[in-house]
Amino acid sequence: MIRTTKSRFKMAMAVSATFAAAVLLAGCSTSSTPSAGSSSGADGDYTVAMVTPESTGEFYGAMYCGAQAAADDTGVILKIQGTPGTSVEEETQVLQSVLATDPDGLLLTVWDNNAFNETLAPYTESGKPLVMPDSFLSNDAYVQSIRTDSYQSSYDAAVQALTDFKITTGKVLVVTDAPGNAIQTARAEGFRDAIKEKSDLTMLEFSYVGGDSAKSSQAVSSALAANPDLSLVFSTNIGAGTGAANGIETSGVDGVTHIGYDTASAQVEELKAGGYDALIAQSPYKMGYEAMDLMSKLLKGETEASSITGDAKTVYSDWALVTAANVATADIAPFLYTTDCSAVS
Amino acid sequence: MSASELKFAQAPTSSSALWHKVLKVLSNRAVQIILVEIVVIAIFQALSPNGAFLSEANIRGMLLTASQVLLLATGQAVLMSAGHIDISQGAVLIFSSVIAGNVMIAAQDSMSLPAVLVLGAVVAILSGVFLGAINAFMVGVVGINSLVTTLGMLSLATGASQVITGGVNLFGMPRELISGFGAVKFGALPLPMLVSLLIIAVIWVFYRYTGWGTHTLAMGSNFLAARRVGIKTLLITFGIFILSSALAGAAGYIDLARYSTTNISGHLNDSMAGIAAALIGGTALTGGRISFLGAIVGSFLAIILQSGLVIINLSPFYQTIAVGAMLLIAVSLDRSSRNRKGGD
Repeated sequence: MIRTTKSRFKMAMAVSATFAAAVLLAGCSTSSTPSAGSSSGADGDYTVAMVTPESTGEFYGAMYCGAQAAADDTGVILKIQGTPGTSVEEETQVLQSVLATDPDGLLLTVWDNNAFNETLAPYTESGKPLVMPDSFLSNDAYVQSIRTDSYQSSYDAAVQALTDFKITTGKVLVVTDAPGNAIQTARAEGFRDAIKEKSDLTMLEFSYVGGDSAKSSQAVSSALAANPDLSLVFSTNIGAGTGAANGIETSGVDGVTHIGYDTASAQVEELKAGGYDALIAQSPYKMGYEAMDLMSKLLKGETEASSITGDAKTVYSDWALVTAANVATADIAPFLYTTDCSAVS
Repeated sequence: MSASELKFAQAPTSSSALWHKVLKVLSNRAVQIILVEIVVIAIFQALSPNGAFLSEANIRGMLLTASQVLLLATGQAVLMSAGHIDISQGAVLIFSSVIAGNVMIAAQDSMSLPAVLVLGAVVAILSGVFLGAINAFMVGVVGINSLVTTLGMLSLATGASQVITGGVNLFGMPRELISGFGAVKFGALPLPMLVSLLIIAVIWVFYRYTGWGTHTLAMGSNFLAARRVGIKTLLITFGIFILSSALAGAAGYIDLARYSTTNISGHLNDSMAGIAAALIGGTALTGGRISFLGAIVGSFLAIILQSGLVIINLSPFYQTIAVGAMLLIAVSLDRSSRNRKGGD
């Protein structure tokens, strides 16, 4: 322990200077992932900012890859920021700082459609373009929203899965987040409605487990014990899915088909190992690419924001049902989430 | 010894007296943090495009974020000076915003708008008072440790909020809450920040100039001795827990005014941010020492770092590391902490 104040001070200054230099150099340098805060674009006339939650996750990692690719193709500078968390106040802090840099355009994903209207008001009222991949605002103050139709994708995937896996009888359990999560509820309800309308299977009550795998595992084990004819389980998020796979395995019951939502790399590994029978995959890369592409067109005047009205303000992006059989094919590659841009294109 | 050497040995010269005064000021933790913040602000401003860091919009954004953190940090500082802690502030904030929001939505048709807004503020603070009283009862009367008590309150308040709302955030708040309070600004200074500073100023005056402050510090320093000397420890315990939760209630009202909705699944790190701000600013965790100025500048440190790192476009992967490292550095520069009772 250094006792003298002078040498403690010197040590503290030396350590802090080295550390600060290292972090700043590492963080600001370019690398293969666009989320390194790097910018690109030859002419660099326009600067577009992109803000999302879960900025260190794989879904948005793939979206960043797509947006960066479009930025490179159209010669616009893209600055990607975000919060690793998912809460409103964390993202508002980041958004406030980003708006202070006065970007020419904004690509924004929010998980609460109401809470950001006020913070965005100065930006949207200034007439600058706002394009929203994977979300929308309740006050419609955006040019276009490019997102997955959570309800319909689940509905259609359920119908496809019933045929592909030849499930004709039994009960169905849906494990999902909480009633307040609009997207997860839409996924759950789409699946439920497809089962009710397009099959003879019986739906059990929704099981609300949040994103907690332990709760999900417990819920699925209990359901299997209470319903021996349970033949299909649908989990709407990663945590619920991991728990459900675990619950099915520990119960030792055969003949239960497990379908999950989203294809993070941990889930893809589970799919290959047999924990899932299928995964409903969104296309974040494409969402990012198309959003940035539209933004470039808006900035360069090739498209007019006023020409996009009514139904055209919402574009539903593709989804795919990924199974162990097709997971390695080139068609499915754009649907797998990853932060490694060289793996998607 | 010669005459000139004798003269030298008599009294310190005015320049060394001044130097001692400067050193004494610099040994104040709050001042050190202010200096660190000035350096950090200068660096960020120099590195930011078009001076975006100190633009009016960014300063206003940072002050808005700080308006809530300041209230929580003050509550934590007062509690910590008495040797207690409150990790339920985030949950109390959510609960207060849920109750106040529902009351305002229900009342907006039958009362005039200004009355509805005032009613909302009163209800938010009273919800905090209610939960704070429960905390105080468990700690002061039943005798449970404050960490465990507020941990229980965290779950209770979160659960109650979820039951009341069914998990769905509120909508339909009166627009005037934002136009009349949340979005009002005087240049770069937002009204919520002004209100928070006023509240803290009032608390500081009471703490510093009435017996309450000294008695609270005495409780934190040596609880048994304070009680035996005749200090009304139970009354003060009730007072400080109610204060902490009432401040969380006020922060809940500001939350409603900023977002026009509740945020039931958020605010998970609010208590930690308040505790960190108070600690960084020089309030001792074990009690007996407090710094209001420190709590204020401590709140700003993390906010300044966050905003600056976003503006200079540091990758989000590195931002969390950078903020944590800077906080540790800012605290480790304090050389006099070794000698203080209660450590750091």
